[in-house]
Amino acid sequence: MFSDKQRSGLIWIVVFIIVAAFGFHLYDRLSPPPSGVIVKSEDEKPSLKEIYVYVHGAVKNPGVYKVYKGSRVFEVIELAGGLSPSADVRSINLARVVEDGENISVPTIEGTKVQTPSVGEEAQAGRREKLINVNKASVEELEKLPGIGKTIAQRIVNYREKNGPFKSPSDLLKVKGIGEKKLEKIKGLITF
Amino acid sequence: MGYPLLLVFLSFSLGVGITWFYRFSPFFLLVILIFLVILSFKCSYFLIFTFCILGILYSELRFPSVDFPKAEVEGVFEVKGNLAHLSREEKFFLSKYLKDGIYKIKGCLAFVPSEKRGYLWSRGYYRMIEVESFNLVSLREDPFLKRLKELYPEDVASFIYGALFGDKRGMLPSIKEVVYRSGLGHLLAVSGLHVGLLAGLTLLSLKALGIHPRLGLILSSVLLTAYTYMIGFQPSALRAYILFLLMVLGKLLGLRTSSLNLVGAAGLLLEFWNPFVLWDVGFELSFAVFLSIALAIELRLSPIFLYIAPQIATFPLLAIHFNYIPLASFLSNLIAIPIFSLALPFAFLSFVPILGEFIAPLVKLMIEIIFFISMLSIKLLPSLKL
Repeated sequence: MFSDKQRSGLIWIVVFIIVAAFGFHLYDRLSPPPSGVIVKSEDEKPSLKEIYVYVHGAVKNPGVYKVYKGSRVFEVIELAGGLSPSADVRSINLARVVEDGENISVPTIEGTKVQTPSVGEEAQAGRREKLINVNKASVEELEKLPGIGKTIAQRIVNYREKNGPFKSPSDLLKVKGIGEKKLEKIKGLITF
Repeated sequence: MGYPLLLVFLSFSLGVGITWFYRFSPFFLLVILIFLVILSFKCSYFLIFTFCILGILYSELRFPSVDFPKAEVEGVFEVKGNLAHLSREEKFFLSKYLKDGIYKIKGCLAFVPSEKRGYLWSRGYYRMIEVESFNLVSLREDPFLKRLKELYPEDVASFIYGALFGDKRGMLPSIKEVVYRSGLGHLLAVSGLHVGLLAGLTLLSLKALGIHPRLGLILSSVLLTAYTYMIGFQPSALRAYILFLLMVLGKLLGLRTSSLNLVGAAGLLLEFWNPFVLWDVGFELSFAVFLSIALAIELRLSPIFLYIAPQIATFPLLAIHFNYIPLASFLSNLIAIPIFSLALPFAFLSFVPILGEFIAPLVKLMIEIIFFISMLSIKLLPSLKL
């Protein structure tokens, strides 16, 4: 069909095209994305970080669940099989954003009713009210703590925004300006 | 065998065409290919199959990756209608039609819509931006179009702009419809006719100046290179340009080969540059025309066939892609092509200051005759609707 000369010429073309094809293929795959465009990939978004929360109480399947950062309490309860009929939805904020390592306790109606606070307990509850949650308090609230000024309060807020919630009192030592002495003073007044 | 390159081109195209329907694993293809190459040492018949498989493998490897990450895009682009450019390599198709200019665009990256795949891939647009918001930085009107609009009425100006630069976006839909239905659509894409006319004109005028034919060939190919570069290497122009370059190369090197082989070589080169040109309707039409003319020359048919053959060759393709057969094209082309050939060089002169104003009425008259011919021929020979 083809003469000998034509055949060898065409076979060289075949070899050349094969080599070029793989060359182009590699070049396409290895070349970087468009340089003048800002390309943000969706999986780089920080909102998709996974966190763990513990749910127990009036839910169907209590346990530890993995959720995405930014999830809310009602979503976690949904994961745990939903509320059991005895759950007291009025005493829990279903719209609150959950945090890593959080302990969500869903109260039951009986539980809330039975626990009619005695005088002593009421006093304790009163004291608990005064405890400041360092993971949730605003700068103004933190300022009420002894030895904490506006600057340090702001630093606490900045620290937890950057590194996540505090888990123990010793975590507070990492905030610049809080030493052992200051921590000793406020230890009894804060909660996590 | 007299036409090795034509045969090889046709079987390579078959391979590229198969990728439109099925996708194969490249390594599977490579194994078959090695097997076929070994076989073709024994019997050269197998080269035909080799090139077919090679066509599949080549388009498979050049296939743009579909699974690029879905991402947000923000940047400043040069926009022409639906097409946005960052540079020559970075091209995007836009989900919105914008006026020509510089825009800041924000949107989402996506794959180009599959019904436009043939048109876009053959031009190197693989990605689409779903426009969410855009800000105009500055509008950009083509200075050539501006000049034409000063000299001619709107419809004539847009026709000339389409004929010279292959950009038909500004045309009135009614006129565009008439021109296409009468089989004169090829005048509006920079194609073989334009390239042939320009090359012929420069060769003749250089000959008249007493320049050596070899130097004349080189000079005219330089001029054509400049022209195809100016209109942005549009596929239709590129096809005719490459064919012309191959002819010049053959003449300069003193190679004697059949014109069918030249067409085959041009087709192979274009498919090597971008295999997906085969999926473009324009490519199919062009090569139907090229092949039919080359065949008519090869068979030494009478000159009348040189006129009829390309038209008949495009009918099946027009019927498949656009569902009509423009019978009017026999009549319209007979009168329109000579007039157009005369009008084209004059139209170029309209960009020359002062001289342009003088010849404007003449060019306008010729273009209006073309409009009249296309309307008349449709009346006389209505196109077959399928």
